Amino acid sequence: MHNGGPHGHHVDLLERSSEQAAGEVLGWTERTGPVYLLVVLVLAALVALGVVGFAMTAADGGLDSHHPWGYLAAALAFIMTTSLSAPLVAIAPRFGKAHWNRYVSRIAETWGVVGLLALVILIPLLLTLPPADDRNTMLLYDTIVEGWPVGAPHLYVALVMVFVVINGFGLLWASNIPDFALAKGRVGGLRGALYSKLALGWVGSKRQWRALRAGMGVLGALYFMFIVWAHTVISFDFAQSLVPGMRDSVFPAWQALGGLQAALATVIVTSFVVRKIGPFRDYIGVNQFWSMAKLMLASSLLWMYFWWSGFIIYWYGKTPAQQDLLQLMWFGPYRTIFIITILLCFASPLLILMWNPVRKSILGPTIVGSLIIIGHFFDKIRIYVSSYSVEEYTGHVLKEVPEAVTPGAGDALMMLGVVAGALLLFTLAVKVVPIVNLWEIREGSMLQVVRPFKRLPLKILAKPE
Amino acid sequence: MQLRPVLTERDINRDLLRPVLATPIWFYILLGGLAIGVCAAIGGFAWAINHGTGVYGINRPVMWGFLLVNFVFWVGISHAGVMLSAILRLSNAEWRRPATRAAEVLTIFALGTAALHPLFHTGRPWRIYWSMPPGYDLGRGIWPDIRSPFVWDPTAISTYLTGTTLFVILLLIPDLAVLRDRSSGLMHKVYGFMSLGWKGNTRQWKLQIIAGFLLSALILPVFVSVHSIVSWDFAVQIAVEGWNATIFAPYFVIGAVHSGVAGVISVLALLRWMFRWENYIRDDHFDALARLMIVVATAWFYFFVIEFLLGIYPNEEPELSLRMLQVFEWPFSATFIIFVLMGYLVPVPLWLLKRVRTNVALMFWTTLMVNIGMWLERFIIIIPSLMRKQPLTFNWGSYNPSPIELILVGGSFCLVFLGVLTFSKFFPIIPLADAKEGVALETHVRVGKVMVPAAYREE
Amino acid sequence: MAVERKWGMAVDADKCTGCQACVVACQSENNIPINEPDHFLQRRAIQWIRIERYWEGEFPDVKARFVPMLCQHCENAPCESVCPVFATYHNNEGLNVQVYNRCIGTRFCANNDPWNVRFFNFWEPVWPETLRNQLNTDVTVRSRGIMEKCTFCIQRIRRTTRDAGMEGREVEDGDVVPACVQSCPTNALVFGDLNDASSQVAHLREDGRQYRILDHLGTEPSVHYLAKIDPYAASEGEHA
Repeated sequence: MHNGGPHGHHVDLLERSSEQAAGEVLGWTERTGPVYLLVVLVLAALVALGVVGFAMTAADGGLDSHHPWGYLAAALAFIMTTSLSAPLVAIAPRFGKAHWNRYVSRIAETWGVVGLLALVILIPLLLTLPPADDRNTMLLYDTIVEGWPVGAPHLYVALVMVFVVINGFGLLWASNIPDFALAKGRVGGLRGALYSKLALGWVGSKRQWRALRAGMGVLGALYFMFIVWAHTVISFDFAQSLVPGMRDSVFPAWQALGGLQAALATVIVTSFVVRKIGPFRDYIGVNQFWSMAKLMLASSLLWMYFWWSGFIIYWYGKTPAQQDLLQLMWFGPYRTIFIITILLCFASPLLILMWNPVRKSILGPTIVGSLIIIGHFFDKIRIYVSSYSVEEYTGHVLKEVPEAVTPGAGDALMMLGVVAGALLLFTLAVKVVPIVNLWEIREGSMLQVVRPFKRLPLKILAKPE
Repeated sequence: MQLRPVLTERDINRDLLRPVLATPIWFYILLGGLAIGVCAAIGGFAWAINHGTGVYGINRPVMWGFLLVNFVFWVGISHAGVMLSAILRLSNAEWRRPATRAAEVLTIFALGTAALHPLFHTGRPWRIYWSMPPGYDLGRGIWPDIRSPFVWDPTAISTYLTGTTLFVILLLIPDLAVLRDRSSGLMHKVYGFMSLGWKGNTRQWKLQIIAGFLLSALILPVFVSVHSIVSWDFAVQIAVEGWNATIFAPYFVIGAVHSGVAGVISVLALLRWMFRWENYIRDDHFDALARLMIVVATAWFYFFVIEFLLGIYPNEEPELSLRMLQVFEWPFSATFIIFVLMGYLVPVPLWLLKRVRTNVALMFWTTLMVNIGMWLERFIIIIPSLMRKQPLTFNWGSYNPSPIELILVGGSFCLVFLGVLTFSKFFPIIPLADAKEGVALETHVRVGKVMVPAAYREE
Repeated sequence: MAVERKWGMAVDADKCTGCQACVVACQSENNIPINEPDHFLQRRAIQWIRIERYWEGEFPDVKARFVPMLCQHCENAPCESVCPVFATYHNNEGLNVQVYNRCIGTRFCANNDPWNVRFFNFWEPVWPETLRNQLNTDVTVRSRGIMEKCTFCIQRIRRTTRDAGMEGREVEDGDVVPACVQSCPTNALVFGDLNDASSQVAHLREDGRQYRILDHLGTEPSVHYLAKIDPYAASEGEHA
């Protein structure tokens, strides 16, 4: 970290030659100590517990009805909101030609591997999701085509999720190609062979760079659209369409926005952890946390605004159907959880991150990020468990507001298993892909320089056109 | 790559103050033409006051017509100012510099024009102050009903108008001082008074910058609230199924940004063409704005799709017949197709090409298309929803705009452009201080053999 | 007054013949301007009560159904909360009342009125010279630019209440008769106090055929309908 200047001016630039950086990052990626193995074992054990939980729930409730699976649906939505959305933090600033994201973009992209877990969870959920024949889904019944489009909605949900996962892996791979090529000469054995295979003969020619940039642009844009659409479809088919009379059009968009908020929170918290346990103190600095914290504060405010937009319509309209939905979703059996969500996802970012010194720190955003992740965990439980608990899911009106469903042992174990599974996949992935994007920071060091501006050393950001 | 021309402060003063200090003759001709349009609208309004609201095409059940459509449109356009100025200022985007003031001025006049529409629209405009701050009917001790969105609306709009006007005046101060030093007679006194004793010392600059940031941050919530509240004029109504959707607030806001930024690009293209400001409003500015437009447009389109799908999804008869009317029945089918094509499907794929993004003429026409599309969007939301209100088919109706309404709509366009042009006659519409700061902070970084444009960043 | 009034109406769709007598009676009682053909063509005719005609079935087996439609005087009226100036509000007798000289003509209430029973004065009302003396002196002539709607003949409610007060008695069921009720040849319309359990309208409310139009909106209308009895078709309350 460069600290200099006559006024103690703080200029935040990485001072590493690309050679040093490659050594540090790749060294950490290769190293697997006993602590790492212990963590992997513990997580694997928790995943096994999750499988036990799944078996318990399956034995208890069976696969005939969707009602027992509310907590699993919540778990799916939770990892979609946090892990699967995380690559957005790499994609969006890249489009905005920002520089701060270079040091954390790989962390964000690596979370895409959790898609595998999402696909696994999706299988039982799709099996138990009631057929479209007797209820409404977003695939338009009898409007454009006679009856239902083939496979609605299961096939479409599955397709969207598969696209998201393939796209996520594709993006991770594409952004890694130059790094793999760099790494393949430095490590031997199986790892070296793997890197060399994955590097696809990368030599860094002008044509290859152009292809890589174009490819990453397309993959990034597609990922953005797919993940937003996946949030829309999942929140729609696994929550909204199971509640008759719920005509909340901001709801899917609100869920997608929650994904952006939680993505920032996830990357902030992961960056904090990676920075603590790895030699990355100089790579991931206040500037990264500050930049993400600003976006996280903005997205938290927007999150509340989207909720309010939905709420005010129901509250003002006051038709019986709307009042029932207010009860079911917010002010009835799940009131406590809802209040916790609002406190964690809106009040805490607002009240903590609005202070400049806190926002421009490492610990502040990390704490708020953790709170937001917890908040979204509760939020998904509130949404999906309440939707899954509606007995009569056909028709146009909610007949009665069901009681709150408290989690059984099976539910708790499943959720634990899913969260542990997501962490496990990430933990495994960080030992395969370099956790800091080496070519992006090298590019960054070329495009960011410090020069005196009338005696004051200032950072210069170059933006290639 | 090609380096940008080097501009000195003298060049900047000369070029950007040219419209103010030496006005060409065509400018007055244009002003006169627009003034005729405005006079026609004044005549139309006078006619409506004299004869009654019946001169409009509205009827039962379509009680809100073109004037409300146009109201929403202009409120939408007015959202560009803050969107560009405040957000880009806060995020330190270099390419904001030439666009900010044009955007803010467009905001002021679009919003002012929008604020006139309730006057045209209501049955007894001479009593409208009962619902508006600061008038209300407090003289007789009667409060307005704060439950009504028509009370929230004037509050939000007047706050936004005040805020934006302050914003513009504040950012004008250094430029006014330049004008003060270059004018004589009465104008010298006026500029001198308005520049509030600006000398350009460190303390004044510090205050100026702090105030700019503060206003940017404070005005953002107002900006979101204004169009949300406009959307709630519609969305809170349980009687109109097509409107009673929870997504309306964010949908309207993003739609407003979509049409607003498009409007700013059109205005910038016009300004560049009229005043030959190629060195100030450069191709790369259009490029950056068009990239922003792609994101905004796609987000807006997502909201549009969601709103539409969730409208059909419950499979309920009245809503379905409304959507059928919107999409398949003449003439709404035609407007719907034009709206979707012009609002998204044609311009956005074009903007994906860098050749289009840096072509000013094409950018002008595509952004104009967006605004035609967005006008039709409001039309398609407002009118058919009223025509197919509730399942009581006996009352389903239709609507034809009257000539007076068309004159008022046309006049509103003249009024906004008249306002922006008049402003550009008296004040620099590209901020001088910002342009100079941009030049001062501009530099280049050598990467290999190429020079990449760069900027100093103070954090 | 001992008990608070809650005026309401019952409309027996089975008895309605669609004769439009109520429409004419309302027109003359309440100083509603003459609806000329032009007004109908412009969809600007003002009828505080109207007979909505729906066709049922396919030609040639087609039946006309008549639904007298008037302001429903809802308990939770959606039109009230959207008025910025309190020109329409709920009074303590269960009436949704319109304050003419308060109205500024935003027409917000008309939009948020699911039954389309609020009317806007697009033009200054004019009557032919010959009808000048026909105007009811108890009722305001509305100017242009404001909303108006059924008042349940509030002038008759007031007059009856005042007369009863002067005679030192309570207003009894059947004392207050709005113009439409008075003129209905088949007694399809019944008016009275819904809070008075012994009133005819309260009895009809308990009828098995009772339904309220657009009840799902939860606005609690004070006008109740009694479904058509059709020996040949099973479908009832098709608009509810």
